[in-house]
Amino acid sequence: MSLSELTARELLQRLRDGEVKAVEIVSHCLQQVDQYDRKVGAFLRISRDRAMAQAEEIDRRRTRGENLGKLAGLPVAVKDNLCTHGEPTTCASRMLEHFVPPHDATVISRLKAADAIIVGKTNLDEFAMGGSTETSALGRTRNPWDLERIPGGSSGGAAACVAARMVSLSVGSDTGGSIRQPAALCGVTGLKPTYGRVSRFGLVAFASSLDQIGPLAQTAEDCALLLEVLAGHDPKDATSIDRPVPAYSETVRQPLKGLRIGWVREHLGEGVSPEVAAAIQEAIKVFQSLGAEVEEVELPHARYAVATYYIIACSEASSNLARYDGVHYGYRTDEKAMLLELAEERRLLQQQGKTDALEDLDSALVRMYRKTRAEGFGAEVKRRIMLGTYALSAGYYDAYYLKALKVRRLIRRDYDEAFQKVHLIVGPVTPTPAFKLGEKINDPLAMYLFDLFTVGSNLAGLPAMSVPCGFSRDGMPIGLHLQAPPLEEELLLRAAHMFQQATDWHLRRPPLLNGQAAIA
Amino acid sequence: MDKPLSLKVTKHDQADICWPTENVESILAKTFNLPMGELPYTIVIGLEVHVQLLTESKLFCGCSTRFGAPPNTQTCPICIGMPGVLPVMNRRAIELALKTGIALNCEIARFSKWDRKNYYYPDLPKGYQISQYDLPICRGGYLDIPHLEGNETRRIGIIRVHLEEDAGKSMHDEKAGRADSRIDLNRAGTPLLEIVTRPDIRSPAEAKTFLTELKLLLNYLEVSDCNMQEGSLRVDANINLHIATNDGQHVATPIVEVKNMNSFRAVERALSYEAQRQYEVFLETGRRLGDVPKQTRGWDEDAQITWPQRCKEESSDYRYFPEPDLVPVVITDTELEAIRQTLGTLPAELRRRLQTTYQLNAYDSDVIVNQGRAFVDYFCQLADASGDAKMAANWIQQDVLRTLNEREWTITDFPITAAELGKLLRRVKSGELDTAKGRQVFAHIVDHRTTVDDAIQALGIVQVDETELRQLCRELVAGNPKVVAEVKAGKDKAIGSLVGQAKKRNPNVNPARVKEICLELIQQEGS
Amino acid sequence: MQRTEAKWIIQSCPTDPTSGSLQKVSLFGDSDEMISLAEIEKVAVLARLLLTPAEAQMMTEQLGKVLEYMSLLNEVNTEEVEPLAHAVELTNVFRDDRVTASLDREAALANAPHRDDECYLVPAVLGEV
Repeated sequence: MSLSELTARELLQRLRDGEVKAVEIVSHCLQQVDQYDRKVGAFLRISRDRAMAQAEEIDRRRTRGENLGKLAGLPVAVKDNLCTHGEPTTCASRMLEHFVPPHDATVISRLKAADAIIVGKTNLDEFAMGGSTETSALGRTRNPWDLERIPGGSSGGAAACVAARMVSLSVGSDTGGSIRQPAALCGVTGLKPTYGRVSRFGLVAFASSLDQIGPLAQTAEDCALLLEVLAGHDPKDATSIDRPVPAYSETVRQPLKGLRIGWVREHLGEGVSPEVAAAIQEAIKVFQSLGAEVEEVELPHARYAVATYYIIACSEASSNLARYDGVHYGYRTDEKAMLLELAEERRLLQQQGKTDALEDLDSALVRMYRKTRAEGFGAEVKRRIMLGTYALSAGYYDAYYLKALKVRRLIRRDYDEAFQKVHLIVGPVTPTPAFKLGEKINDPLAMYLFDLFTVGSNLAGLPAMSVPCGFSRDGMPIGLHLQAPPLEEELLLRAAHMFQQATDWHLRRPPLLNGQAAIA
Repeated sequence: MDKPLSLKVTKHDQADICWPTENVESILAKTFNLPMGELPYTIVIGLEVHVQLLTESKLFCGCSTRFGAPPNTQTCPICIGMPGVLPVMNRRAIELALKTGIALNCEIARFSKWDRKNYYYPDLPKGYQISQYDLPICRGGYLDIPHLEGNETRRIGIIRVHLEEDAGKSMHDEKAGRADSRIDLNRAGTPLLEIVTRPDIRSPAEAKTFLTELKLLLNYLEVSDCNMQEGSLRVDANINLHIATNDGQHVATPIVEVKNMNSFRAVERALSYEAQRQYEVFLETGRRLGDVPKQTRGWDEDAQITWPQRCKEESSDYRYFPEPDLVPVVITDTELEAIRQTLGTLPAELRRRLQTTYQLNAYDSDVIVNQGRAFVDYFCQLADASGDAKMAANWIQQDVLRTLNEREWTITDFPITAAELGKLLRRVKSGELDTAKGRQVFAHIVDHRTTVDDAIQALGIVQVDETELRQLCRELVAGNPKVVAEVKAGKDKAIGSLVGQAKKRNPNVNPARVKEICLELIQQEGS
Repeated sequence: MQRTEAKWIIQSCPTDPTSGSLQKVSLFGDSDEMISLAEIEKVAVLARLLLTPAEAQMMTEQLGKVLEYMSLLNEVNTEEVEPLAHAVELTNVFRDDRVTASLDREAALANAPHRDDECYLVPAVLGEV
């Protein structure tokens, strides 16, 4: 069996047994990348030499009988909005195209301490703003199941590289569904932890009260393995939770008895494609066959989740992205050209005698900010910054931002009440499978509405997973969404593992890997 | 989990420092010691003071707050605002804020939160300042300041005290042809306390007194150095006038914010200038509060004038919202009490004590308290050891303070303990040593760090035996009948010649004692 | 696909346009301005963005649609509801007042687009911006 067929857990076993060496695994990984990434475009950057050197070092240490980290020898891909010391971290934006952070994100430090081999940075929607990876300014990523379709977003690259079996583990971020949605669209497993479970230090902020970092892999078991390494309290993140990290990788295999699963009527009705609804219903039946009880629950405020989410996310984003001004790091507009342009404008206004306009004319500094940001940011980022700025501005704060924060509490209450009755809530991750590249890029609102099932758990701070549960007639993956109460990642992982023991959706491979052309 | 408190947004600033004309009468009524005839207007001043806290590290990161480091050598990804970084609150900054709030008699918020104030400036790397908007750590309160005349105090109200981070510095390069400004982020992230007063201050001199008293208080609390030269205290003032009109009404002029004052004296001068300027403008234009938007003017130290500064409208929409990266602060009564215990006695109370316990006058107690807690402690010990507070006060202000200034010492460097100096004072007081000799001994101990006794010995000061002294005096009285006659006739000063002769005969005699004994003998002789 | 979304939006828009404090709402299709071009331009300055006329126009339409959708929240009765600003409601997280190593100057300035040997450089800051 080819190394790329193996799960992380299987690879680790073979490494420990001495059946395979880290250099072989990394070498194979790089071959997969060479073979498929030209088409898939999952990676923005690969660190070939460093990865091989690290692999050699780990093999050496293993031979010497040294203690090795939990992920020793495993290639891992990391979304390019996680700061890696000494390596460019671009957020797929012109704004940070050449930015090299002098600091590691905490999760990167943890990966390094676990002896994982970070092989490269994956593509994303610019600054994680998007649901298709199409807003990336630095590359295009395609769905390995159909190269004409989106891989999902914003962690599109992280999902695609696992789906295309380039790596067994990748790390993404999820603000409104950005791990779960691409996982669903690419047929892989992804998990967004409870807010605060994983440190955000070093994650380039999009929406601070919603962002979380999490694992993507083929299986729930592998997700458990990676989560165990990523999770934990961090004194550098004041919002991180100070609770011990359970041994996810050990408990994941324990099935659940007496599991009570909830489903929401609206999530399977209007607005969801019949194929997706059918797949979810089949998945629920699988759980029933495994002994779970199923009952209907209500999330009465779910219909307001998208509006609530976008107001909060864009408001926070407009502030988080204010630092990209060309002053201390990142892109700066061509000052000379800018000054000439400004001088010309001034001359024209003087000529026309427009004294008011002259008075209001940008100073050189302001013009520098405005041009830098206009040139450094793409359209979607600008849209969200504008929306957020508006929502927070004088006169609108109460109506938009404050209102959204209140509805957010109601949304959280809905979950709290539902979780009095059930252990997990299941449903679709997306209303439809992956759509075609370019299909929604000019319809921002339609794109936002695609998130309707995933944003609730971000707003409420709850953990959630996406697990492959079927395929459309077109052969495109469909994902099952599982949501759990706070800090119940174990519950999610165990339920997902149970499901994956009884099904094989997660083991299917994109036809691309069999040398087949994209699906017509 | 307790019910979280409301995040209701309350309108800041404007409501609090707006002085509608209707309130003028009550303000004037409260104003005292301003004879109506003197000034044609009442000056109304409110101050906004920013002080840097004496923490070792910055508010949200471990960079040092030490003053004077070369540019951009005390920064890290957090205070540079690099992508991905997060702030974590400095515990000591909270403690210092609470100390200040307690000392200023404020209401301490049991639940306090952080907010982002969003605006763009090159010295503000994140594009927002983390501050406090609607739930500041302290509200209300007051500082009593010595009134300019008399023994009363004036109560200056405090509206709020809150914690926020400082911005970096932008330096304008004056070099010819240089069109750039230079940005140094060393200061970015330093903890600041913002203290906003009520518009209770009634004169520029009073503003200066307020700042002086505030500085003294914050020095005592070890909260801040309040050194304007080093930038650890900055102040902006809001000033307008209430002018009496012919029909017995009062009119308020538009409020002006005055910035760029670099010393307490500059504050006084700037506000004096501004008050007069506003009056002249009023006479010319008749413009009242509300007719024009609030103006900002900068003080020009060289030209000694205020001049208008450009202030764009847009920059005032700060789009405040709760800081998502920081969690709120909840303060318990126990914690508050623990902090209250660390305050120590405050300057106003110390002045009072010196006046009541040691019967010092206001001036003396002021001088001593202004020197700091250690100095006050020294004084008290000295007063107790010498048994004469007034004498101790004189010696400490003259001899001790002079020595400290000459040698650039603090009282902790001073080589004479209060106990030892007290011994010296007792000897002088008892007449054993005259004042001049006492000072000699003092100087000797300062230089050689000996005890009083050793110094006396080293200086060869020999105590003259009382019997010997009496004998000498009898001889002098007997041998100077003319002088004796003059003294008996009421010319007390004539005794001086006997004292002079005594000193010639024996330089170790205590002149004061000689005088006493001679007078005694003359009296005994009878008329 | 389009129809599905349209249905969703129609379901979501309130039928009573006078509820709440947000601007007027109209159903999917032709909307009165939720936001004007002038307001877009003001927001652009606040956000330090420079929009071409075409971008400004597009932004007015797109944001208009989004804001219209947002007015959905008017339906929700939020009297007596406390805002949820933090998903996980912690308090009192602090760090000790200890000095740790700063970046050396070169590392701090390494990413600066324009600098001299000591400082970041920007076009001259004159008065307020």
